[in-house]
Amino acid sequence: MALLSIREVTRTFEGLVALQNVSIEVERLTVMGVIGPNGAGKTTLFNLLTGFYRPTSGEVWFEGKRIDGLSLSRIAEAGISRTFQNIRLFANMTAIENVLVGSHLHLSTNVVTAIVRPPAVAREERRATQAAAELLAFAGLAGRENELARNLAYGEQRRLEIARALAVRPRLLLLDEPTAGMNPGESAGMTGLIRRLRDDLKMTIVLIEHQMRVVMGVCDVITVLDHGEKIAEGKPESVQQDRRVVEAYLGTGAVLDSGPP
Amino acid sequence: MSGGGTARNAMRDLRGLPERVRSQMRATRGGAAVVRFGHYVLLPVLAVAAGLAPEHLSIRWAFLAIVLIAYVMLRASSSLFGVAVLAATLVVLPHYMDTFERGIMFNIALYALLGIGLNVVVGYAGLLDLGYVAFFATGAYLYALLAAPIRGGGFDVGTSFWLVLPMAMVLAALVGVVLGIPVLRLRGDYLAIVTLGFGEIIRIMANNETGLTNGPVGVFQIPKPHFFGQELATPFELYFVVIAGCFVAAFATERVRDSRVGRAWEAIREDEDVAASMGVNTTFYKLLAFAMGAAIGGAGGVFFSAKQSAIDPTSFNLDVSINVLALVIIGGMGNVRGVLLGAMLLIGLPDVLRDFSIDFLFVHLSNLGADYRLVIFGAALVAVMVLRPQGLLASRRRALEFQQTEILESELAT
Repeated sequence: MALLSIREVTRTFEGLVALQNVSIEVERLTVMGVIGPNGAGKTTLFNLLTGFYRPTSGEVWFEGKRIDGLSLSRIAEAGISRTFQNIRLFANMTAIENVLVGSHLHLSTNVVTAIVRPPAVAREERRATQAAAELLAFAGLAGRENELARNLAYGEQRRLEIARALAVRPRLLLLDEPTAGMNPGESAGMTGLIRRLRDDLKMTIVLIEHQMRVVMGVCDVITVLDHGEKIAEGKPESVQQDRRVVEAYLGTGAVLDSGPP
Repeated sequence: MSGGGTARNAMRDLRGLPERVRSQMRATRGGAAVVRFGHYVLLPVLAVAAGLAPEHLSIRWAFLAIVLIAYVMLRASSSLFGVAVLAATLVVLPHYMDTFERGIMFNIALYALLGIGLNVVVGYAGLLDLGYVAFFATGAYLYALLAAPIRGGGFDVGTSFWLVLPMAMVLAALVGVVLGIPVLRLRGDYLAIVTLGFGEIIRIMANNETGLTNGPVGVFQIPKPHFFGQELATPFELYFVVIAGCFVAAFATERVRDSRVGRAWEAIREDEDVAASMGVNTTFYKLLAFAMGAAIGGAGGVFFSAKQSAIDPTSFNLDVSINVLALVIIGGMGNVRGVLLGAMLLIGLPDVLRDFSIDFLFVHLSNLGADYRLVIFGAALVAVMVLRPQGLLASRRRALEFQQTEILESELAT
């Protein structure tokens, strides 16, 4: 059974159809790329999966459990975690504090134990801090633990978002344009990080991405959205050849015409 | 995942964090020597002087000086030593005060306690609450009604002060949750307006529910608490109970702030949706902030009604909420020490200024304080907000948030 199954999901915004009858299955241990022109509904899809929006119709199932309509924190509990296209870190918290918020669900301190602070709480906090530091190191942010998130470089902020999402210990990780705004060098580094997420951490990943080099480099499967509809799905090489995909990107007739559209 | 060594390094860095923050703050002020002088020399000398030679030292001047030095000291350092000296001063100084001054000190302590409570809601969780008086009133009425005799408008249950105290905290926390539920979806200004309404509802209820609260007449003959058989009859004796309450509340709230719970509040303040998306149950944590703040406010109410002997609905008007919020903002949001300083200034200053006289250019301005104290006070508040919008002793984080808005605003302006 697929890890994530999106079944005929439609989402409209006051008449504007953002997603129409989209069905997608994500298998365990795969990296799926979601591509499509601007306004195709990619981020809407992520927002539906993580509880920011509810589908107008259709269902979302994760690990055999229906998750559409659940609250944001319930979906995090269910095991889905994400990053954001426009970076949304806790800007005035340090890098390690950002990651520690991510590990919130796996810690148990409450008001009473926080005040009394028995040895178990101190130990838990110490372990969590160490685990967070390891996650930061994994994301290539060793030595930046106590830097405020807003003082980190742009590429570092993207990496910190991934470290924070990993701290939730998700079974499905959603990356919304992880290389947006990056130079080729930074993109290559990010591609490497995504590969390590897949190979070392055995993470199932869905990512939205515009840079074809990244998409072709890391994705096992690609889904193409256009105007809210799924127009193609398959292996990277087959999608690349798909006539409708080329049309969606370059316009009808582009295949026949020569020169730029 | 590997990198135990890196993790250890990170731990070492973390341990250094407060010192780094401290040194940053010192660097921005650029007067480390002055600070150390104030810290290690001036304040102890002043405390001793205030204690040993009261007849040579106007106690009100001493109070002003202490507020000033406490400010310099606390701004520069977060060391326990500074807090200990301040605490010692607060405990020693009132012994040399007259009844009027001791009354002021009681109010300062009471408002500091309320400020510590409201700071949890406003400073930590970022929920602007203008109805804090509701919880204060809940605690005050619970003690008054349970302890006062029938002819005083109470129920003559005779419940001990020390038993009512936790009861009031629980009840106020419950009221906090009940009032919190409908406002969960509201943010910022809207939240402020609705909570303001709740504060008024509680006061009007106290006024109109004659059967329960004795209405506008209020409750009187409220007995004084006993402490190991000794009656705490004067505000001066109760002052120490409230000061103790302040330190317990300060300790508890700071510990919670530095835990997983405090991090969750901070994340909610920064970006509520993202916090939820990381698994923080925002509903629960917002209600928790309301409940914790309310519990402390309820305790403050119990102290108030024990000191007053008689309470009526006019003691619980909007002014209380505004004053508490103002002292939290002036002192510095998110910082318990700032709250303490804010209470000293906002509650203490108007009365300390009352009979100030200055000889200026051979003119004896004897009525300066009495006539213009509120003008001076208002000007001081405006000056603080213009010069330090983040408050006198803002938490590191709050200061950063203000810095950020300023940058944004200046970018927009250009």
